[in-house]
This record gives sequence, C-alpha cells and structure tokens, in this order.
Amino acid sequence: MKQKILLLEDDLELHETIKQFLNMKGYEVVSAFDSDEALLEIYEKNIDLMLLDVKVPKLNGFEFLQRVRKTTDTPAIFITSLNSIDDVEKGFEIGCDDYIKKPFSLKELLIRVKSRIKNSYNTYKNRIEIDTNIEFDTDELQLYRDNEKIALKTKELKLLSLFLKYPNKLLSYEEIFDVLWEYGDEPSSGSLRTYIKTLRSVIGKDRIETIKNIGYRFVK
Amino acid sequence: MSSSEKRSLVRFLSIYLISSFVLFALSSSIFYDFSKKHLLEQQRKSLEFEASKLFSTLRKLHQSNSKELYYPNSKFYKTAIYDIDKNYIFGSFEKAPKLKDIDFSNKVYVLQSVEPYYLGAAYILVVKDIDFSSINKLKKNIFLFMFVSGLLFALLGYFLGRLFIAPMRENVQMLNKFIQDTTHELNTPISTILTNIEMMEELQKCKDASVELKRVKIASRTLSYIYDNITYLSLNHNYHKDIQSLNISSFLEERVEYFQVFIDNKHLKLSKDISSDIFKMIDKNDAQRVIDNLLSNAIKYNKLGGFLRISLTDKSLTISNTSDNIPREKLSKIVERFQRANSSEGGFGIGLDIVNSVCKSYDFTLFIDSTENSVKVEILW
Repeated sequence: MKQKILLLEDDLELHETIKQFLNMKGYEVVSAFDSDEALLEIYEKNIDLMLLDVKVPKLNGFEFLQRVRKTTDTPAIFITSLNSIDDVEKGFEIGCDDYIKKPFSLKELLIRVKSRIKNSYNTYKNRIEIDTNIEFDTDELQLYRDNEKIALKTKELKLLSLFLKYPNKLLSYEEIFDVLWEYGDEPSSGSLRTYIKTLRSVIGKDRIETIKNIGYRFVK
Repeated sequence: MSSSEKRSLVRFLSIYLISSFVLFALSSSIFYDFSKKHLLEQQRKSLEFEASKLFSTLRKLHQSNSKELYYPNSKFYKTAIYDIDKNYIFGSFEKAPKLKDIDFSNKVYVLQSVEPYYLGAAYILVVKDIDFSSINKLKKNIFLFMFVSGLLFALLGYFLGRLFIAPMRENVQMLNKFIQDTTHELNTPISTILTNIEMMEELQKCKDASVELKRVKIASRTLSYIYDNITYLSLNHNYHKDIQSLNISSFLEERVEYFQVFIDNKHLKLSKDISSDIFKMIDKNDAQRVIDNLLSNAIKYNKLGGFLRISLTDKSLTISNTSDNIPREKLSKIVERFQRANSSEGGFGIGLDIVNSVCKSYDFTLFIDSTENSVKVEILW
C-alpha cells in the first residue's frame, strides 16, 4: 500500500514531473489542477499529505487550506516563490506544516515529504517498532517481522496506519469508517471486526482494545 | 515614497522655495524702502506745517511790537530760530546748540529760511524724533506677509512636487510590478527545467548525451541563480526573515556541491577548508544569497584552470580566486549596485550589492582585496 499525496499545481509540465517523481519514489499521487478539483478529491479520498501551490485557479492555495482545515488536519506543504513567502506566515497560521521555495530540487521535495509523513506518526524514523521484532514502514505502509513482509490486506494496513497515527486515542467507528472506506463505498462493521481480528493476531491481542458500542483504541 | 523620489522632491522643493524666497525678499525690500520714504515724507509734511505756523507767529510778533514775546511750544517737536550765521537765537531746546552741532540721526526736521528776517531770525528749525511706530508696523506687516506667503508657497510647492514626480512614481511602480510578475512567471518553468534534469539524471536517460545534459544543467542553474537574485532585489530585502541558527558548514558544502558542475566545467582547482558545525543566526535565504553570489563570482570571473579557495572558520568566510588585478579605486565601488570591475565582462553587477547589503543588515564586515593575480573576499562575522 502507498501513501496518498494530493498534488495541487496548475502548471501541467511541473505537475507531471512532480507526479512522475513521487510515483517513482513509491507514493500515490492524486492530481488536482485547480482548488475545486482538489476539494472534490479531498472529500472523496483519504489523503495522507497535501502538496499545494499557492497561485492556482479558483481559490488560491491559502484559501483552499483554510476551507479544508475545517474538516481535516492532513499535513500540508506549500510550494511557493520568494515573492509570496510573506504570505506563508499567514499560511502557517491557517495550518500549513511546511513550505518549499520555488525553484526547488526534487531531492529537497522528497526530504520534506518524507519528514512530514513521518511526523504524522510522531516519529523521526522510517520504521515504527510495534513489538520486539515487528516494525511498520511509514513510507511503504507495510508491516515487517524480522524484515520479512507480513501479507496484509490494504484496509488492514490502512487501519494499522490510522492506529499508529493516533496511539492511545479512542477512535470511533465513524472515524475508522471515514478512513477505511472511500466516498461511495458502503462501510461494513462486520468487515471491520475481521480486520481487527487479523491485526490482533499479528501484533498481539492486548494492543487493540475494544470500547463497546463506541470504537477501538490502540495501546502503545 | 522611495528614497529616490524623496530626493527628487527635496531637490525640487529647495530650488522652488529658494528662488521664490529670493524674489519675495527682493520685492519686499523695495516695497519697504518705498513705504518708509513715504512715511517719513508724511512726518516731514506735518513739520512743515508747524514751521509755517511758527513763521506766521514770528511775523505777528514782528508787526505787533508787543512787549510780550510769546514763543509757541509743543511737546511733540522742538523748534528753534537761528540768525543768518546759524547761531541759536531762541527755541525749545534745553541747551542752545548751534545748527551744525545738532545730531539729526533718527530725526525728521524742516529748516525753513525766513524772508525777511523777522526779529533777526534767518532760519526756522523744526525737529522731531522719527515716529518709528508706523515703520515698525510696516516691518511687521512685511514679515507677516513673507511668512504666510512662504508657508503657502511651501505647501503649493509640495503639491506641485508630488504632481511632478507622480508620472515617475507610476513608472517606477509599473517597472517593479513588471519585474515581480516576470520573476513570478519565470518561477514555474525554471522549476520544471531543474526538476526534469534531476529526473533525467536519476533515470539515467541521457547516458549518450551526458555532456549536453551537463550544459543544460549549468545553464538552468545559472538561470535559477539569476532568478533568485532578481526576486531578492525586487523584494527590496523586506520580506519576512526567518532568522534561526543555521549550520553554515553543511549549508556551504551543499552550495559548493550545487556549483560543482560549474567548477568542473571551468577546470578550477578547488581547495576547501571548511570547519565543521559552525552555526550562525541568519535567515537561510540571506545566507544562500551571500554564498551563491560569492561562489558564482569566484567561478564566473575566474580563469580556465584557475584556483578557487574556500575557507570557513568560526570568525570568517573567505573565498579567493584567480583574477586580474582589480585597481584599488574600483574595489571600493565594486559593491555598489550595477557596478562592475570590468564592464566588458558580463553580469548585472547586483551580486556584490546583495552580499554587501546582507552583510550590513547582520553587522558582518565585508573585505575585498586584490593582488596581482587574485581576488579575495572575506566576511568577518
């Protein structure tokens, strides 16, 4: 499974370049060429990171983030020129997490993307240790036992990733459904129970607590 | 208002105000002289009237032969009668001065000859202190007029000045806006070029055209560097600075690596002496402008196969390179905007200006020295 990055950039060539590069580095890129498209994508898909150009058609990058921040705290990185760096200050106030100055190098972009993603798991490392020999790779979204990949379904990995982002926090069924099932799919609590069961069998029974009629909690 | 606009306005105002002041002062002084004469003449006229009164009194006395000699006195003026030899006969003077002994400064007087000599008097003298109150009033009025008109003209001049520099101001603003828009539009294509070169290298797509790719890379990095300089200048250094502790050592290494392709291209002999983990409180953009401009200059104005020495210590950053000797008088001007040591070589002449202004804003000292065949730039921090 891959981390999903929303790319909002209206210049076609630059957009394609960044997309190709991020795909190459193992990320899934959701494209948006104006803020309306981006709003739609955010609404329909579960995005892990947003890369936002400031000067885009319809709402500009800041206005877009301001709108989005009402419903989600998905990390956001602005791509901006020095001319608009003053505005970035405003950007931080409305909830951007980082910015990158144009012209930039892909190497720099990758460093920032990686560090932002790790940040959402509250770690500096690529892999999070869950148990003595079980690690979760935040880049690839894969679970490893003694460096051997453990075969898990996409939704199971998504669920684990969600738990790792919010350790010790009670996650309601609603919150879990929102992340696991994208817009249009019918969530099923039966399937969710199966995923929980599978995860428990891998990382240990006590790691996921059931809070009756409310949801689950991952114990760190 | 920009400093050049202020300068233009001040120049215009001073020329305008000084010339109108001179004109006003001249006409006022002519007017003053004229009015003063007129006022004195008036005072003299009243004395003449008194003199004629005295004359008629004298005649009456002379004709009446009366025993009683009555002499008209007044507290406003002094009178006297003199004989033909200008000796004092009688009058309201306390002492009896001879005519030639009287001091007439600050006084108006009338000296009338008496014909025939009644009672032996040949002259009648009427003297009065000048009445300065009317003259002072005149002076006061003139000064008041000068002051008010000066104020009005200054105000008028200011508005006229603003009016005159308005087209210039518009032009400058338009040009600035144009530069900002241009740089902003350049932004995306430059990013696209740079990122795609990176992609080509990463994917090793241009194995057969590595030389060509290198040239494109150099050209696009030059473009990017020029772009950065222009944006920095057009913002006039007043964007929000994020001053934080920056690892200059690793940042410098990173920038040298960025310019490595330029260095290789000119076959320069690079020697680095970079102390590790040196931190400075500086905005990253500012640091990059200084380092990039110094490196770029040291490479650009170098000779093929020349040397490039970079040294970083806790106290200073020194970059020296092969170069023709730069004359001493040019060294001091080299840091000014649009100034180049050798105008036949390319460049805008904004690089060192940026370095200089960054140094000034952080209180760093910038030294540039040139010998027979090298140039050394040193920043003490």
